[in-house]
Amino acid sequence: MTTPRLLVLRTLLHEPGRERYGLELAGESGLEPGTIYPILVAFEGEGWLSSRAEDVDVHRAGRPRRRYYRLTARGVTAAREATTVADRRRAQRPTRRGLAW
Amino acid sequence: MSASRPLSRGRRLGVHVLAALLPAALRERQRGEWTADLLDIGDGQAGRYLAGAALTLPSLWLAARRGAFATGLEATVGAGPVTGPVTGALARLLLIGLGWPIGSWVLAVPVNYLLHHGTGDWKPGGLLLVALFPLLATLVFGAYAALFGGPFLAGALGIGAAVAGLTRRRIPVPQRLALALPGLAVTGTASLLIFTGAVAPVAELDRGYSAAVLGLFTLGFGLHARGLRSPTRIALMLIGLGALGVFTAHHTTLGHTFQTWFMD
Repeated sequence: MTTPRLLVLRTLLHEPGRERYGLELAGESGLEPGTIYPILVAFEGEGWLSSRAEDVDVHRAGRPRRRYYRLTARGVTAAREATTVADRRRAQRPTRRGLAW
Repeated sequence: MSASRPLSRGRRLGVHVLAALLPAALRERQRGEWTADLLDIGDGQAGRYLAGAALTLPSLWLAARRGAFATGLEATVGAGPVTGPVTGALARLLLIGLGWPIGSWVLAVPVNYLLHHGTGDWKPGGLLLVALFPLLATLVFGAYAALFGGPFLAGALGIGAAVAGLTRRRIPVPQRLALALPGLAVTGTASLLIFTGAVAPVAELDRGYSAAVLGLFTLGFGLHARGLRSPTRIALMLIGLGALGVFTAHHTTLGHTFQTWFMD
């Protein structure tokens, strides 16, 4: 599990029931805008995320419909497992107390 | 957030190019995502956003091919787009007929110059020359067709049409002949004009304009044609850009240096 993926999962887990769009999620996760979509497509492909097109009149909004993403029940379980494993690994990593010499 | 003004032409083109390079199943959806994001973010961040998005193209490809997404939210990635017969024939004609001269020009002129200028020209001899002769001849004739343009490029396109028609076994024979016979006719006419010396002044006047026109058309076709597979689309766009490179070489000092070195 890569760091960007973990960042996205942590953000999603913060409020699992809330729907967010890609740019919003990238901002909350601290990722470069525009780089989040492969992660969202991959999670959706795994069945961890569900998405829906925004219910909006595109002419009035003046932009295309956004896609809103939310964790599925399977995604919540998988995200919790992934973040727990990552936290455990980080805790096991030896901490450096000062310089080596 | 609602957008108050439309996306600028440059950004729209950027999104269009990026979306064109995606699998068909993801194309429209991702175009919408990028467009909506660009309308939201500030003016100063758009270039950075598009650069970041461009770097994610391989990951998006991989992500779209894996998992449940590949079996369909909007469409299937694996099945690929359906190319119409005319679009398919035109794409094949351009890939072969324009890809050959432009690809040869790129390899024989700028790439060859950059690799061998100052270190002496690479000249195979003996058996190697005999073995490589068909390849070298194809490369050199292709490069000259791009360089001279006009009837030379028309002749190459005619050969492309003939090859595209005769080698496409999956389509009915009448359709194959409908592509191959006009191609042979164009090549025959172009050859006649060239060998009788009737077109020498035209060739001198061309200066890359026919390559530029064909390049712009191929680039536009690669970007906009419906139903093309992404590798075909990318190849057409590269050929289009290469053809525009021929035009640029005719009109810049560096380009003149390349071409003179090649012809010498």
